[in-house]
Amino acid sequence: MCDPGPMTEILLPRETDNKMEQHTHDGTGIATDYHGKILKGNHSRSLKDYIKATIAGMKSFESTMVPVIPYLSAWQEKENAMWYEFAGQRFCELMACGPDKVAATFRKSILERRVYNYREKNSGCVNTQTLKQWQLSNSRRGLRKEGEKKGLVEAVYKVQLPDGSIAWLKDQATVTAFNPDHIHISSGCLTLVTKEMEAEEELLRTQKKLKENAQALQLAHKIQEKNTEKLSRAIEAVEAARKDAEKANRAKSEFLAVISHEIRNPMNGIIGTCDLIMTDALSPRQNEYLGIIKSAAISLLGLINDILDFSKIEAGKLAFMETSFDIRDVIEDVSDLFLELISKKKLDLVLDIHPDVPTSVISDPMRLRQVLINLTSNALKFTEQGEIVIGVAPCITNGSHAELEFFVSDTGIGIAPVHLDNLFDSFTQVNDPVKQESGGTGLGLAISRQIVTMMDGSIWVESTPAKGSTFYFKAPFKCAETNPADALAIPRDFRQYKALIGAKKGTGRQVLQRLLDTWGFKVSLAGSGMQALEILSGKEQPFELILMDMNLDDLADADIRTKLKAISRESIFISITRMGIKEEGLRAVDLGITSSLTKPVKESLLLETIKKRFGFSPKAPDVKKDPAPTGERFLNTRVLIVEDNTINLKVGSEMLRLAGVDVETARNGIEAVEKVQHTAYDAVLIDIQMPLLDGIEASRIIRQQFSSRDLPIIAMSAHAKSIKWKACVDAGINDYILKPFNKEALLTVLKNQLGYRHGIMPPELPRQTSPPRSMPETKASTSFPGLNIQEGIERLGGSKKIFADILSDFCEEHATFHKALKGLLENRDFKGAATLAHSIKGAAGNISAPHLFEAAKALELACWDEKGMEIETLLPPTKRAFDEVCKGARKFFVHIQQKENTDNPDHQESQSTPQTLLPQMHSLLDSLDSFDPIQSETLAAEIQPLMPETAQTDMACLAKYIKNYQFDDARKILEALMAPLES
Amino acid sequence: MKDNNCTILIVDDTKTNVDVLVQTLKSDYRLGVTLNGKDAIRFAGTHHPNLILLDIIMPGMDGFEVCLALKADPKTRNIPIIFITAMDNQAHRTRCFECGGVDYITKPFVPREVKEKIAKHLIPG
Repeated sequence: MCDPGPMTEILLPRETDNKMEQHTHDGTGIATDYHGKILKGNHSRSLKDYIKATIAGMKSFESTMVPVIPYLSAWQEKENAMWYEFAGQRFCELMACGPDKVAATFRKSILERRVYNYREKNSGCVNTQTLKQWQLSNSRRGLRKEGEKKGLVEAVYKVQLPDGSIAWLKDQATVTAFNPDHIHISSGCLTLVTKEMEAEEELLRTQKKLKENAQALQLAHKIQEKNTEKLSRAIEAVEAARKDAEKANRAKSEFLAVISHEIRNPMNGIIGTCDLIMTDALSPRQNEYLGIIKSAAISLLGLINDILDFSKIEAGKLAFMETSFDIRDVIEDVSDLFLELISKKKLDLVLDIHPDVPTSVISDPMRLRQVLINLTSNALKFTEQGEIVIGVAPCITNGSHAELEFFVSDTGIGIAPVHLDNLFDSFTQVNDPVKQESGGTGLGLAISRQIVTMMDGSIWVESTPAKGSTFYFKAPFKCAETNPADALAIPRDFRQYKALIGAKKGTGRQVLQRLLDTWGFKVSLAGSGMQALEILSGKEQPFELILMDMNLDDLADADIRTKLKAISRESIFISITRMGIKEEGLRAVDLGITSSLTKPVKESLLLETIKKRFGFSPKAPDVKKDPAPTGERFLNTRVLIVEDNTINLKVGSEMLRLAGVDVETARNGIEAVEKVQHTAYDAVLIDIQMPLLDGIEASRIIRQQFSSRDLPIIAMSAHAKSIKWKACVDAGINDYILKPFNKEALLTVLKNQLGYRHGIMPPELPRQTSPPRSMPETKASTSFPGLNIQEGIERLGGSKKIFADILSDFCEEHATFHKALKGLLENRDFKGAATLAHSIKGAAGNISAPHLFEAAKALELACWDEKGMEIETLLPPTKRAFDEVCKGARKFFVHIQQKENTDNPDHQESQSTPQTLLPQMHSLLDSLDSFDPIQSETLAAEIQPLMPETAQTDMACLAKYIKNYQFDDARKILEALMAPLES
Repeated sequence: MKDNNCTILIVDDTKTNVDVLVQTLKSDYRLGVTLNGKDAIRFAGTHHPNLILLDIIMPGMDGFEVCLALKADPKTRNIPIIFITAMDNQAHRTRCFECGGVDYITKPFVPREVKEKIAKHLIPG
């Protein structure tokens, strides 16, 4: 702060009291408040004149309007005394007191003093805006020393006026020293500068604030910088963490994939070994324990597959293919999977497929199947009684697209509303008390949702606890072009028939009713056997068709059954039973029913059964669409085709279906092994490389139960080079076929395996005339008995001529076979006889003589087994079959000959000199040495027409030897022919 | 396309079978034919075929004996042998591999199968 002393010296008269002295810094001043002290005292004239003049000026100034307060003070250096010589009217008014009190009052009112400037006289005005602290003491000292020199002092006071208000006063004074008197005179004026000073104060405060703000800002900036740095470090860390997490997730998925695969191998080992042990003689208890191990292992395998699928979905690697398929097939497939479990729990399984569902759609049938399996297995898990319905209905169809809504409903325990929300989340299981029983990864529904999402669909559930749940999913499908022939053909005549459905009220009955309605029947319903009796004897009778569920309670009553049997005599009576429930089957037998369907009733099967019973011819085979090259159809042949690739599966199945084979499919070895145990197949076609259980392993397991004769297994593989055939043979695989195969190859391989057991009929023969027999009825074409000419020619690349030649040779070579055979048998040379029969069998196969093939085959077996009696019986049919072949062959020769004559009427002959033939004959000799039939034949044929007439017999002989591959004999003849020429 | 650098030896006592094989293969390979095992061994020793199709049941030496003899001779040891077997004889098929065969074909022949199996095992000359 500034030194206040000088201001008081300048402005304020010194007070004499002690109080006043507190305010004077030097503490020595004695001020008195009176006027005219100098004028009255003994002072110099110049001083007195100065004061007089100044006071006069001030007084006159006070009368003007200029708003300043003039005053005149004096300071005596010697006594350090100060007083006012003049304090005007205005000063008195401001201080609200008389002139004698002004000095004291003013002094008391001062709150703060500031001295801003001191300047030499005439140096210009002081600008309050440029206030500066002034070192007053130095200046004053200077003044004193220099005597009368004048200077300007400027200061500001903050005062509290008598009315209590705060005011600022600016004081500007001129100081004049009168050295002879040792007196300094200050003449000045006060100006009210409250507004300016307040503004000044405000400005200062603002500046201070600004400065503080700036500092704070700077600090904040520094903090911000620090934070930014921290933030970027944090971002880096997060990025690194994200990368780590991604890496970890990938690693997790890979690990899961690997580990799942690795777990499968030992799992397969466990399952396989269980099967192995179970074929041994075991106690019932051991069998039961093994059954537990096996089913546990199989369900564990299912879990692993779930996890693998889920990790694939998470990694975005789940393949989704597009192919056309029939939704009915998928649903029926799914229902087949659960048949055993359903029948164990004595539940009803109903398939509810709306008639408007398109026949053929495009999507991924495997994935659709997977979702349906998940939902159905869930339903099965939580349902102890009642029914499970698998259904589908169209929401929208417009020809090329359809939105289909699938559902799986059950009458199980239901789901509490609290659990509904997160039901489809991963690893979620509806909690206790069910959890303990439910098992599973909890991934099934999550996987289902993922798959449905991939199909652009949605999945949801509706459920009432204790009543049951219905899981729905909806997805768009593209509709494939449908072949009208694929649609179920419904005879118009059904419209004249009445049908009675006897079944308990429920979805199953509704579905049956709807199907029969759709097909044109007039349908009546009965909920019990009794009611059925009433309707059958009522006014609606007669009923042409009766469909009756054997689980109707009152069918247990033998009396009702007898009555039903009597009344239904004229009707076509079809029973519906549950698989594995004996008494229902017995009831059907008791009712005299011959056609029985197993639940779930499949639309196509029901229609076929009804059509068959009504005498409508079965659906025309699609031979026209794609005639089998071999021209054969398989009868009563059921084949399991096992393939993980959907397209290959479809192709293979279609080829077989077109040939009349009843095809069933499995997607991996495990399914195959299971299916084989429940269904009697005539053959299994199995892919070698498959997930879960590969073809070789599956075959090995199947072979534990079925011999290669009972159930031939044909392997399919795409990798001819990599396949290990030794392993195939060791596993009991009968034969193999390379992919991609054509229909001809597939059917040939199958026929080779089945031929001896199954009726195969040519398409031109009506079915009913060709009952299945142990020998192929078939290949015997009517025009060339005993021979399948077409197949034989095809086997030889299409040449009729070559086929004729081979046939001719065959007949000639074996002309006396039965005599030779008899001779061998007389000598009890069974091995020789078997060898002969074997060679006829092989040759017969190659010339496509099926009857002879079968006969020779049976004969061969009998010979190996040394069964004399059987050989005796088998010999005549073999001879007859042989004769038949020869007869057919002769007919074929004539046919060929005629054709040749018409095609080629001119036959040219030429002659040549024998000597020119020698080089050619030497070439022939070389080729005979090389046992080369083709070159030998070509050369001999070239030479023969050039040889003279006399050599023609020898040449014919030579050609014959070559044809018979007797090259040594041929050589002898040739050498004989060459000898005269060379000499 | 006929591969004249490759010779296939067909060994089968049943002429009809040989006929079928010859017709199947003649456009693809140079062929040699013997009707018995003894001639087959002789031919293999002198002409070194690239592959042998060998019937099992033959008078005299049977196919297995021929195979063992060929495998015992260093000159013929490396010739791949495909057996010709009846489709219903599991024991034979197992033995085919035991005595050194590389594969088998079943009677009646499926031409494509025969060709594919030969192409698979053929060692070019």
